Amino acid sequence: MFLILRWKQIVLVLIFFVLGLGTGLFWPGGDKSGYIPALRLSGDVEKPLQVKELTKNNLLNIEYRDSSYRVIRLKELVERAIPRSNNYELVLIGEDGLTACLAGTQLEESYIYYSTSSGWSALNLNHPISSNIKQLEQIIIVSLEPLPDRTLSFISPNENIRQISPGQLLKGALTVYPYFEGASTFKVEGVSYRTGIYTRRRLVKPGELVEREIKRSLIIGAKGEEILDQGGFLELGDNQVNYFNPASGKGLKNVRGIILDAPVARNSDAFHDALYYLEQDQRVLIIMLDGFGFHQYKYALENGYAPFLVGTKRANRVLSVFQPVTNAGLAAVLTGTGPENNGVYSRKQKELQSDDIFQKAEEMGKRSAYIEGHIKILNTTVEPVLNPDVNQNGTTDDEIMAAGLAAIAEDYALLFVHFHGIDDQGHHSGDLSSKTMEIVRVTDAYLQELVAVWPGQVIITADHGMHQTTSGGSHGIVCYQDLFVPYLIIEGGKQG
Amino acid sequence: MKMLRLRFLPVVLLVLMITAVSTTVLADSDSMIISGFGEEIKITVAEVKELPVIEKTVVSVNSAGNKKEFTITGALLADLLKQYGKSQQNLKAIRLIAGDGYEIDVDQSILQQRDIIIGYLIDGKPIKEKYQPFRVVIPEERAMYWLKNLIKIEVLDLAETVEIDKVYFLETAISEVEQLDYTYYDSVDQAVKVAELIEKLGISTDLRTVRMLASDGLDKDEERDIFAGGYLKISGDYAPMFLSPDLPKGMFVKDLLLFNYGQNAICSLNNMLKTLNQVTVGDITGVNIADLLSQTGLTTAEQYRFKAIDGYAVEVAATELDNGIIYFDQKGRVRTFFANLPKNYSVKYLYLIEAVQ
Repeated sequence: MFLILRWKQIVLVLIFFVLGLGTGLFWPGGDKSGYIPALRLSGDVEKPLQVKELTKNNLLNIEYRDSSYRVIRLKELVERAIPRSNNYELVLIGEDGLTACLAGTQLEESYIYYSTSSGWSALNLNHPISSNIKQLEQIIIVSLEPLPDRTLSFISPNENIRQISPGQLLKGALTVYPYFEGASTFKVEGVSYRTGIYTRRRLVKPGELVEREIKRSLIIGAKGEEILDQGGFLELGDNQVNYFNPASGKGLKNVRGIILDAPVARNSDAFHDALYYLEQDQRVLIIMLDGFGFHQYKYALENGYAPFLVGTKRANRVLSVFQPVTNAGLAAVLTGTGPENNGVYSRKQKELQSDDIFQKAEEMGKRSAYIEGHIKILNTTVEPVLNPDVNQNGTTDDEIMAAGLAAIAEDYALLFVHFHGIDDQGHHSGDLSSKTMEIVRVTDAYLQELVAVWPGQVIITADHGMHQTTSGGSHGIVCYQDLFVPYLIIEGGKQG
Repeated sequence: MKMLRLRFLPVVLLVLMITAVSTTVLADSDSMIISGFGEEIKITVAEVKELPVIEKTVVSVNSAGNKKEFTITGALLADLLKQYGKSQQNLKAIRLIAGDGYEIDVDQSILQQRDIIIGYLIDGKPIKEKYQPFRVVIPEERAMYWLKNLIKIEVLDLAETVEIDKVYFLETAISEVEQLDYTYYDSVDQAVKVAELIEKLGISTDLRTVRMLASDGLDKDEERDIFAGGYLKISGDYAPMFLSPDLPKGMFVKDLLLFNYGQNAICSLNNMLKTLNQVTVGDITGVNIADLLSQTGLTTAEQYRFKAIDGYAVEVAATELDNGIIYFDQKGRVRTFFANLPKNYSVKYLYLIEAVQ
């Protein structure tokens, strides 16, 4: 009888235990010491971490000053967050603000452990004892080398002012801003208990990072979003920088660039100017020079590579869009809008989400043609006339030129011609190399010929620029060389 | 005895635990209430499921900083309100109320900037019974707004409906403002500074935006400060045209029919003549006054005051508007003509029409 009762008890206890598991009353393996604060790993990493426990299979036992510690290698923890660079330093920050910086290359005897008395703590056997920060709150990984596609870049129309990574920002001085998120109420027996909720946001004024007063700056997001700064802050996320304006509540996530003294003029003005001239019953030729930055234009003029352009009025320095790649720049020129409206912000998008200039011409009952290289870049209202390198001379520009001249004879009201040679050569030998400049010279002659025979307005601009790299040239980042391009309107049919 | 007590201890614990779990108030309704629009509106889950489906993967962060990713399926509050002829944009504040007594107020900045999802599926499955009938998710806002067991939405305050009570005529008003040369492509046109025009008219608004309506139907809101910093080109192509050398060309607005600045509509008679049907009485051709006022939104008064720039004014009953014409006379003055009223009702240099309260 006693045995039977015990079995019943065992079964009930088992049921109780299983139900307890389901409701979270028991947690096998959980720390019995109660709440464990999170240790945050952030900065220049792909996957910011919040460490709340150490799994047993990664723990090591080490002896240090007559004590035993169950630790995990710091290097292992950092690698879990996937640093964006192999060359980094670690900033260990304690709850009391005490901070230690360690080189990422000297972590062979560095460990992290948890204890109820001192929370998360660092144990650096090869470093001075002052590096053993107790009650660790945060570990920031700071890249020691440039991360051009991950940093926040401050530029002006003719200067790359500063690049700063999220890690470097997190390491620096920040203002903590108590931002009112809202108030919630809980009603108990007719009595309302109200709670105001604030977030303490880590902010910095953009101007403080470049030590200058900023009058008009354009904040640029990773997907080409733009917002004009009106007294806002940069807010630090774990591995990205956001823009936030407490006054308006408006913000932008993953800020990639801040353009100081950003000009109003854009290469997307080509759309609006073309529309104006078409409405005035003038014919319009838009010539887009792929990968021709304003600095290249200026260099070509100053060094005799553009005898035709040097004889025309000076081009304006205008802003293209982010990312400064062909799809996005071309979409801006064709639609008069930025990526937020036309939907094209990188090489991956082909569909335009706003009307292009060909559509507008069609609505006016005007014929248009689009002369392109050998690849269709965007889906446009008018199908591009593609021009492969038929004569195999390494460039499609001569074929594009011939197609352009043929189209001019066809009496189109709107003609769009896209040359690629400067971009192609720029990638190979650099933005200002003599080889690239020789292509500029050839293109300059094409421009002269087209302008001479086109009976209307000619708009000359570019989709993006080009910057020098160790192996040639590239584009697609926030730098003045990539983002600023020339913009020029010439009356055709009068020269040459 | 002691043995007996111990024997029943697990049973007691089990009962206590089950009781504890089941004390949570369970929502047994499949509907919620929206109040504040007059009569309360009952919204069922089935009704919300009829609306365009929104599916969004979101991450909630609780007060301990723990993150949880899930996919919410539901409909937008904006779409729901549209069904009842209401607009989320016109709301100043709402209160979300849960079945367990939790309440949160959602203010105008959130209502105007965010999508508010009224969800009925989480990760493709029906919401847990105790969190039914709806789960609210407001992406980009903190989890304190992501109410479970939503049973009521109270509309606390409606944005003031902007009722136009004054209509100004741009062609007359600009005579009071300094006109500047403005180079637009190859021509040098005349323009006025918007800020000066507004100051001269003596109008103001608390609204953050100004509405511009163009002759081609373009209806655009612009931030008030940006608008006030611009120019109105009043001669040449596309006049009147909102533009500024400090703005990208994409922000220009051609052929303005009118702009609303708070409760004021400032209209272009030139473009009204091009847009509305013209009427001719004798040798006078212009636009019907009732049509013009209808276009501007000034329609509810029974009596209207027509004011000239020199202060001369007449009052006209709403019933007479259909017999009235506004036109440019031979001297280019904006002028009224009423077929059934004496000559002194023909107001020259018409500056303003306002509702008589």
